[in-house]
Amino acid sequence: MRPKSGQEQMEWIDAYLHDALSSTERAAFEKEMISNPEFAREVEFMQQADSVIDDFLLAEMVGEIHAEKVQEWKDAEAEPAKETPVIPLHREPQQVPWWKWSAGTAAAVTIAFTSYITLSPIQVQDTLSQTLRGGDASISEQPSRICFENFYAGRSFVMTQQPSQAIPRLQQVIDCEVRPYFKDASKWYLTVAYLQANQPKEAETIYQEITENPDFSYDITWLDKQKISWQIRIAKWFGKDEA
Amino acid sequence: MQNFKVLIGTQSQEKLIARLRSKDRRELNEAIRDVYDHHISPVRYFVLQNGGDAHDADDLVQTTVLNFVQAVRNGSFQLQEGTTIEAFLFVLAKNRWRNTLKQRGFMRDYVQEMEATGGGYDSWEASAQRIMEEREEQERYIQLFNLLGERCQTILTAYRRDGLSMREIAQKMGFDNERVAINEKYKCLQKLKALFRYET
Repeated sequence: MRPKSGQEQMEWIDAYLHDALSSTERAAFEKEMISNPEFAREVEFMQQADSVIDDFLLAEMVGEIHAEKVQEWKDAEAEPAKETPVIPLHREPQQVPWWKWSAGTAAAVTIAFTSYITLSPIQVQDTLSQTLRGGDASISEQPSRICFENFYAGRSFVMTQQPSQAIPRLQQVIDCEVRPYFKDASKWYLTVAYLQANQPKEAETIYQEITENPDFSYDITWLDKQKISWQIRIAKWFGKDEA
Repeated sequence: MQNFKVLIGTQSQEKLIARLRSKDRRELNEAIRDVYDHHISPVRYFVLQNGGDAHDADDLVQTTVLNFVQAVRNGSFQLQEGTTIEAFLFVLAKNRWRNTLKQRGFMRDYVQEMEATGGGYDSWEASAQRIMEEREEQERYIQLFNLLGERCQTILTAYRRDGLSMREIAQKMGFDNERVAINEKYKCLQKLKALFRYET
């Protein structure tokens, strides 16, 4: 039997919406809803109010988490490089023979270059700028949407150093019916991703496919080529392969 | 098929979706953190690479996560074979960002290119569009809820947020007893109903 007062009716609807009625009470409630349109509208309003309250609380929760995460991102970006302070020592100038100076410089340059190509991360380029905006790509040549999304997500995961997320997506792009440029770009990203995942053998296999393909269409800079070959070699020497 | 699911992480995605649907607020909180930690970075990079600054990127990330979680919870989003959460987040974000750029009277080449990539229409795109429209309508109602004031908001949300009974709500709010709290809740709901009526 439907309660008479508005307040009791609210409690009755509340109990129904939160599964607090017995099966007999539920049946009576639903019968009332069918026979009384005004009551049905009241139930509808209470459902809508419930949904708005849920969304309000969800927005509040996401807002709190978001504020924390933004702070984490800012802290990570602002973290200064940890460098040992260099204290200059005063020394009397000395005459250095030219051959010593040249040999020293050559050694320093070699060490600096080797350190650079060993430690410097490989930059992943903005492919859309290079090709999609190039002008001669017709719509029919564009990758399917899912392939495109995987391509974009895979690339972003490589950029954010999340190789385990990047690898399966880029592999899917290679298996897609897309034009060779996207497959070639994905192969390059996959090489970088395997290296990030400490899987140099897989990185080497893909990179070999790249170097042995005369029609490879993605533009890799000379410096990136040096970096990748050297970093694959280093990873193999030090046995970092977890595969 | 099972191997494929493992390969693309669909199993863990299914678990994440289940956790996002949870009624347990702690589990929901942890699931949202997982979305932030493992699935949202493409959205941030997308904005930063395409005409947005860090503030734009952060705003879009928040809106995208909120809309996605709402869509998961109300059943508008279903995980499909071969799709990924972050790719869907990306579609949601792209639509929002495209609208933002249009509102600013600024269409970058890449947006035109992306509009061309799918031949104009597919189910995902339609789903993202529908979710965006639903959310825009719901956001209007949330704004009305904000007009209720802090006291009514506390009374109406305390049960769900903190799991408080009407008696505990009465104590928290300094009411004489549980009946007063129920009466206050009723008045707040009537106020909300009036606001909704005014809106429609």
